Amino acid sequence: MHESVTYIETSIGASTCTYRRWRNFLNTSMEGFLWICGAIGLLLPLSIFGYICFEGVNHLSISFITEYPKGTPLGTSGGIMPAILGSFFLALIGFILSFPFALFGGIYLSEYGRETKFAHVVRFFVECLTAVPAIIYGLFGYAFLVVFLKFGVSLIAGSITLSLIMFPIMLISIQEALLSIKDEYREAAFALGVSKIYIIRRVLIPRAWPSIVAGIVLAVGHAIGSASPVLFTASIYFSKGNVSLDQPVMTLPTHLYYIVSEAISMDHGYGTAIVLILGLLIFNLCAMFLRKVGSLKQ
Amino acid sequence: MMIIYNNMTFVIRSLSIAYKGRVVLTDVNLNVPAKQITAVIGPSGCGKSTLLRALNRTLELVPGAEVKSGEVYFQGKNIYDKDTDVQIVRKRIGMVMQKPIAFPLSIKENVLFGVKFHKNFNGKSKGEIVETSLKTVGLFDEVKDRLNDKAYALSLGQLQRLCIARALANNPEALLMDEPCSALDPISTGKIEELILQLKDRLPIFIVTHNIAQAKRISDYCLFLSDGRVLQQCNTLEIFENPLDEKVRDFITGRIG
Repeated sequence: MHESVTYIETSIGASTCTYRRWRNFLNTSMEGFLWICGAIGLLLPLSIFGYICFEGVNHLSISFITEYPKGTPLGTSGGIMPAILGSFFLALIGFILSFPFALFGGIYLSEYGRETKFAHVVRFFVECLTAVPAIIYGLFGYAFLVVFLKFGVSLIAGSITLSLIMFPIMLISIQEALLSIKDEYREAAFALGVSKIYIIRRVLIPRAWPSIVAGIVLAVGHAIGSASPVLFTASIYFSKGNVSLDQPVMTLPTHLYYIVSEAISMDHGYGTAIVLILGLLIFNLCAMFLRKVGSLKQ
Repeated sequence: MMIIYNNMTFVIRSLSIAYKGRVVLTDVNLNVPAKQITAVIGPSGCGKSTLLRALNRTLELVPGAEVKSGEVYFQGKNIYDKDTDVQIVRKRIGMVMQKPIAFPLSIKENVLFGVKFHKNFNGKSKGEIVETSLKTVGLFDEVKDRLNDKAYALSLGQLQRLCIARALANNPEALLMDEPCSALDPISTGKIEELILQLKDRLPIFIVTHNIAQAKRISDYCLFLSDGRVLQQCNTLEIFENPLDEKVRDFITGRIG
């Protein structure tokens, strides 16, 4: 009896030892594998950005940012100032056109029309809209705005097209941001006898602000970087940097597209890409700052 | 209908409430004089919070909940009359929720939240209102150097006192409290109970509580609910000395929770 008990204990002890080693090995290798997968998330953007920097950094200079394209063929020397301006104004006007609608639409869907059939239908179509490829927007912008409404290839046609791309992304993120606020906040505020508008303005928007800014960043970043929506609606091969609503503009992504696809200057291409990425980076940093300011705001 | 009980703050007449068609509160009758602490006790899901919410019309914020019949007179006026301004009802009958909620604003702006909406300054400056409200709940000395900081940083007990200050800043004529201590530690609970007893001289208080000992410590009058019905309502001492129903006895002796 006593012996058998000892025997069992040893046998358990022995098997535990081998098992533990095997288990430790599995744990460590699994963790390592997961680490590698996670590191890809860091490595990928860094290596793309690093490669582009490596190729194009010699080309960056003050004049590259402040001058308009020169040389024969055009784009082999000079700078990309008109493209920076064009992209900036396209995104800015597009944002101004779409943000109020996205904000008020999101507020309606979350605070007034919640659980109504209307809200569900709207949400379904808006989700479909986010999945539509950017080139389709470009085609629509061209057919409807440029040709049918006779806007011509112009800053305003491109801005409206970009606002159409930004709208569903912002609407959904604003709706989600508001929906994620617990009802306790609304109840606590209503119990003080205040109005719904007052609650939205003083409790819900400030509370949702970080997520709203995140949605804006996603939408605007997406819009600045895509060439296809502005290709037929707003962009031109060369401009001297004058910005006017009824005139076409140069943009960073389409400039990149032209000079690379026509093999004009790879150096200029890399330079343009760096400027585009840096622009997005600065934009993201501004947004991070805004997010903080917004959540500290009283 | 005219109301006869002029010395009563609340007069509840055969109040019945349904939730999505199912009756959850049946035939509640109650007269509440000024300066009385009324405790609503009973097992979970018996309709305590529902009753409380019906008293300042926050019940209708819950989708599906509705008052089926009955009246709630507050200072002689039925708050369910068609011509009643809901916002004014909620301003006059303050409420403190179970879980303290800090709005994403500074401590000062949290206190002034309702006041600013109702423009209810009574000739006082914002600073004075903040100071008196916070002093009443005993929070002023703890936070006076950081009135402009976010309210999130406060402890749960402090937050609950801030919520009470926020309700009091509105200058209410009655206060409803829905398990105000259930999320708090014993020390914070003690502070809030002390505060409730202090406030008794100013306005009638309704408190929903799970805690029998708490009801015994602070209330003057008890209402025992079970399955949406009032099983006993009488002075607090009486309910403990002479529970009429077996369920009431089991509950107050701690045999069922």
